[in-house]
Amino acid sequence: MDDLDLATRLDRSIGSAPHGGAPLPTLIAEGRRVVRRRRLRAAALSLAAVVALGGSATAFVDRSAPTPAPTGRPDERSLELRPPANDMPLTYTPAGDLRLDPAYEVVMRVDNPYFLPSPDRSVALVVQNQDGERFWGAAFWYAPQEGRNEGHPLSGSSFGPAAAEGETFQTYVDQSLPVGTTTSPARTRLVRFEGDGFTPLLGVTVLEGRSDVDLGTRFATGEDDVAAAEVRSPGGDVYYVLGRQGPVLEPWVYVVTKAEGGADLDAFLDYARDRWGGDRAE
Amino acid sequence: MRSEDRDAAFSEFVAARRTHLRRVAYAICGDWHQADDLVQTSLVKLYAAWPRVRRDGGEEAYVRTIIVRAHIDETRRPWRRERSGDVPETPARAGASAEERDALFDALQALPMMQRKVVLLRHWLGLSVAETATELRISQGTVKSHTSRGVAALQAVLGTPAEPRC
Repeated sequence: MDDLDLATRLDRSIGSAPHGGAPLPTLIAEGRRVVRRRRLRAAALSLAAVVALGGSATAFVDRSAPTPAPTGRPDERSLELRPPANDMPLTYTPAGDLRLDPAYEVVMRVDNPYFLPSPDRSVALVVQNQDGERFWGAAFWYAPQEGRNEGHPLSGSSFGPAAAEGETFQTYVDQSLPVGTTTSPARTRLVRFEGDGFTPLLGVTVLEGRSDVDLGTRFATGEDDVAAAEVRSPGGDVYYVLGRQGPVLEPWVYVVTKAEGGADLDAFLDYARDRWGGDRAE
Repeated sequence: MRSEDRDAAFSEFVAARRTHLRRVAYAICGDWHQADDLVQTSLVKLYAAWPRVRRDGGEEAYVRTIIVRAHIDETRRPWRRERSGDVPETPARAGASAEERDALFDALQALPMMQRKVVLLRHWLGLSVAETATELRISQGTVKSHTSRGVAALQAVLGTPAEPRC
């Protein structure tokens, strides 16, 4: 079965298309509506686009708004879709609520990529617009705290087109590290994951690894690649890493300390299943 | 670009390429209704992006990329539509025996989604490893491994060993 043969057989197996498809005037009318909507939106987003092209994180302190202290554990799954208040498509409000411009649809979400201690919050998102164009964003929110920011909340966000030259979502998020964060960047850069295993970065040792990890469909579908490993950092600390990537999802490595993840890799997988896993409701 | 010029050029493209694009969508999703939805969505997006895409000369690749990615998105939506009782006209299939055609198409649809797409892009549409990787947003190594597994599964149906084009 040479390539030409397979191509021919595939072509025949697919067959010819039956009559169908929307009439051309319908396509053009719908296309014109999309163009009109986009032009209306362009004015609202023009300033945001300038910021996004810069690609750098911005931070601001809102001193005019009320600064309620959060109570209890923050609900990091909440995401309010409404027009942004400060010309950034992705932002935290002074009260710590996450907002995304409804012109975008969330493709992938990583909660607390900067390992901020509660009640501080951070999030990283892969979103796409109506044309299927992807954008990356990251945001953080520091709760009002005595002795920090004069008791005011501090938040910031970064937003820009996805996949700039040589950049991955993970490196984009790393480079948008919040101002003043105490997180060690090394913790976010232990390994790279590209679907077929972990590549340890300089000085990192993979102690034990598992591929084809199944945490349930809430975490990944059968099309996604998932692996886990126990690794030792250059400084000697031991972490568990959980890598995931797929046709829709950008490669991402979750990092958990050994103290948090459990005594061994099996214990960590139980931990990961409880934290991120389970099956989606049909 | 004037509206009339955009409409004329877009209409010309749709007239020339819609049938092929519908077959691409059908080969990926195995359902003519869903294929038509995918193509319609993609063509509307193409119309909106027409000046830029036309300038770059990538109209067909633009639509095809939306089709393959949109289908992925559709399958991940919990509210994915299922239709029943509205059977499309059976397409005419010429060439090889009906048994072989059905078996091959069934085998193609039985492949995991990404394997199916890789096999179609590489071995039906003739894209290179690099082009396939870019279109599907996966690594070239993943393209090669999916190609190998996908072609092997199709060979089992056709009963003819061959080296996959990796």
